Formats: sequence, C-alpha cells, structure tokens
Amino acid sequence: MDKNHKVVLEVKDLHTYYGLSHILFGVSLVVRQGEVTCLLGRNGAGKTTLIKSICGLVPASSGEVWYQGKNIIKTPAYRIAASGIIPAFSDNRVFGNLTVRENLEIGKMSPRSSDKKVIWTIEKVYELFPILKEFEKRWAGSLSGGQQQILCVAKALMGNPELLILDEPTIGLAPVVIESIGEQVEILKAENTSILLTEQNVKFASKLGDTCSIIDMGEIKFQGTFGELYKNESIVSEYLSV
Amino acid sequence: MSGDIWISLLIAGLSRAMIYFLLASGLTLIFGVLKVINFAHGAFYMLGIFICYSVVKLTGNFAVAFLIIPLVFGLVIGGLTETVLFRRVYKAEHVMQLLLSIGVTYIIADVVKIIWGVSPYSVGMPEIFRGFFSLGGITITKYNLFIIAISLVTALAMFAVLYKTKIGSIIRACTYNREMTMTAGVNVSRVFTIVFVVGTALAGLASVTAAPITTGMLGMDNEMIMIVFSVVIIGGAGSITGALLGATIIGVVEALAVPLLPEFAEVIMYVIVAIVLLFKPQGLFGKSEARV
Repeated sequence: MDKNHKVVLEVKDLHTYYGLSHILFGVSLVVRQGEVTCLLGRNGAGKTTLIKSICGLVPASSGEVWYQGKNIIKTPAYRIAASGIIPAFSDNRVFGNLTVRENLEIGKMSPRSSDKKVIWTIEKVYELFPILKEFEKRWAGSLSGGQQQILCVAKALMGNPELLILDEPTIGLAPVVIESIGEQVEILKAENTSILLTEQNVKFASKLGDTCSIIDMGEIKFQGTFGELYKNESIVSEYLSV
Repeated sequence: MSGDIWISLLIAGLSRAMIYFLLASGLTLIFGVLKVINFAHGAFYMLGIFICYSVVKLTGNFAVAFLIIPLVFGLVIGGLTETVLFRRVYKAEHVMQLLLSIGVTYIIADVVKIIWGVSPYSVGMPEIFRGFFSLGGITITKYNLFIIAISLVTALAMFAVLYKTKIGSIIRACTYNREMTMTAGVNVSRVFTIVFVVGTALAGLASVTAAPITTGMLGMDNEMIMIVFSVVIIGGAGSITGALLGATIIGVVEALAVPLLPEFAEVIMYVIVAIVLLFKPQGLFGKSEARV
C-alpha cells in the first residue's frame, strides 16, 4: 500500500439491507489510484452486495461512498457508471442476446480525464483480446464461459473506467483461462487502471493485489497487505479456507 | 366452396391478423422491456378508434388522422401513463401492476362514455380505398391490402430499429438485464418511457388502421385485449417475431373457422392458446429469459 497514491474511492461505515435482512455491517474500504485492491471472502460473505451498493444497484441504508469529492450513496446507478465506476459482474457477464460487438458498443463511454494513458476503443480492445474480433458477429450468449468473462472485462474497459470493479473474474473458469485473465489484469494495472477485485481465489488475488480486505458475514475482518495476511494464518484459515 | 373463395377468406383473415399484430407488437415490446403486461392496451385501442372518428369528422381527412394520431397518442397517452402511473409500480408485485392497468382500462372506458356517449361510431372507408382488386376468382379489398402492407412495413421498421441501431441494442439489453444496462451508463428509466411511448403509438397505429373497417363501441377494448393477450401468449411474451406469427395464426384460424366450424369460432382461439401452453409454455418464440 502506497499512501502517496491518490484515493479513488472511499467507503465509510456502509450498512445495507436486503428487505429485512441486514447484509453489510458498517463496511469501510479505500481504493487507491493505480492499485489493485482485493476484497476476499467466501460465498455469501457480502462481496457482491458491497460492490452493488458502490455501483448504486442496491440502496445502502446508511454510510458514505466518496468518489471524486462527492458522496454518491444516493446517486442513480447509471450516473455512477457514467462518472467512471464500471463493474464487471460474474453473475451476469454479458448481454447474451446482443452480438459481441454490440456488447462492446453499448459499454462505450469517452474518457473523463485528459491525463489518461490509454483510451479504450473497440480497436484497442480487439488488440488486447484478439478472440473478440474473431467472434464479433456472434451472439454473446453462444460464447464459452471463459470467452464471456473476457468480453465482460472488455465491455467494462470500453467505458474507460476511472475505477474498474472485477467481481470474481475467475469463478467457474479453467486454470488456463484464469492464467490468461491474470495476464490481462497485469496489463491493465501497468496502464495505471485502478481496480477493485473481489475473489475467493486467494492465490489469484495475491499475485495481482496491492492490498486486501477480508469480508465475512458482512463485516471487514482484516485489512492490509498480502504479506501481512500470510503472516496471520489464523485469519486465512478462519475466513478464507473452504 | 371453391378454392378462390378460400384464398379470399385467407387474405381477409390475414388483414385482420395484421391489426392483431400491430396491437400485440406494442404489448409484447412493453412487456419485454418493462416486464409489465399493460391490460389497458385494449382500452388505448378503443380510445384511438373514437379519436380517429372525431378527427376525421373535424378535418374530413383520413390521412391527417392516420399520420397524426399514432404520434400524438404515443407521446401524450403513452408518455403520461408511464411517467405518472406505471413508473410507480415496477418494483411492486405483479398483482399491483395488473390492478393498475385494469384501473386505467376503466378510466378510459368512462372517458370514452363521457365524451362520445354510448352509441357506436363508424369512421367510414376513405374514397381512395374503396373497391377491390380481382385476380381470377380471388378478390381482395384495397383496404385489406393496405392493412397488410402497412403492418409489414411496421414489422420491418421495428426489426431494423431493434437490430441495426444503438437504441435498438440498448432496448434489447434492457430486456436481457436491467442492472447490467444501468452499469453501462444507460438511463434505463428513460428507455422505459421511450418503449412505453412507442408501444402506445403502435396501439394508436392499430386504431387508425382498423378504424375504417371497425365500428367503435364500448366493450370493444375487453374483446380486443383478450385476443391480443392470446397472441402474445402464443408467440411468446417479449418476442416481435412471435407476435407476428401468433397474430397470423389467430387471424387466419378465426377467418377460416367462421365458415368451417361456426359454432366453435369463438372458442378456437383459446384452444390454440391451451395447446401452445401445453407443449411450449413459454410460447412459440419465447425464451425463459424474455427477449425482443
């Protein structure tokens, strides 16, 4: 964690309910510019609820989400996306009834700041993921799981994110595909993209991540570097082992 | 009866089917995107017929009514119904949505009663469309041909917009997954309004298209919504192709059933619905995930 890096997103004491069930209990989290911030936890720990709250898809009942000098907790989801927080969800990866190219075009947004190193366009995305060019006319629903995951990330990149949220990008994928996704995330990181990565796959996350938070039962149980995490075996075994 | 008469009957059935299609396409489009079955769609149709009558009486010109009504109808009636009423119930239970649309049906029926009274009205056939074409023993009225043409043009235009334009892919994206569409920066509630306006404009188009061959009267809304709802069920909710096929099946079967099985003509539509539901509960073109 480099304290000199600018804070991109700060979540403070966030509480979220689904109907009557309390899901998030005062979660706080910081994402810094150009870093990969990992959010680790088991299934049902609250990872997806947290990122859906950040994206404005699930209304938080109290707390703050600071982004670009504003508390965006009441901002509509489409405005949050338009301002540059772009998620790639694992439960719904692509629009299956749109072609690969249409999936990319629908996610297209112009970059918001002029100091961007890279500007993502369809051509640039095709360069990073040549398989998408090959399949551009196919229905996204006909792609394999791994290809859909690639398209899901590519679609998010088309929005030229200030903050890219990757929700369990490795879930359900073969090891060789996971490896190639890891390589792509490395490239994005090298290009100074800020990334919030949720994972159950600690090995994958630790290769990419700068910092990690562990969430369990809707509460943050640990925050620090991976080095610090591995020194603390009891946390790993209590919250992460299957 | 000779073969020619059957072909003439078939074409008459087809033109009837195309009115069903115009209505069903709006209903199914709205359902596909908003996931709301708007039972007031039949009332919109009835209101459109009465408005058409008044506009034709006032201007003496059917073309004016034909061009203006669908547009104004969509923007005013569709726009108001969506932004003032339907927007409030998207997150409510289906029963609430159903009650609201039935409530709108009653309100429109009373509005029609207040403005036009209880007697039936007829627009009359415009001069230019009177008469028929004959080809051997087959006769087709000019207006039936017009109905079929206008409906096919509408169907083609809908497919062109849905599959060849940006707004089309956004609409399809909304039918697939709303949340994911929002996170692509799309203002989904504006898309809902647009789709509701277009769907209602299609009801207005169905009204003006049907007006010269239909008598406007109270109660026609309920009769029509049952047919159109059946069309949507047969074709598969949310599918335009399904609406086209479902409407064709119902319109043609209805036309042929009248001379063949007169005593079953009214029932046969529901028999088709039952058979389709038995073998393909999601409808002929329906997907488990509704799409346009």
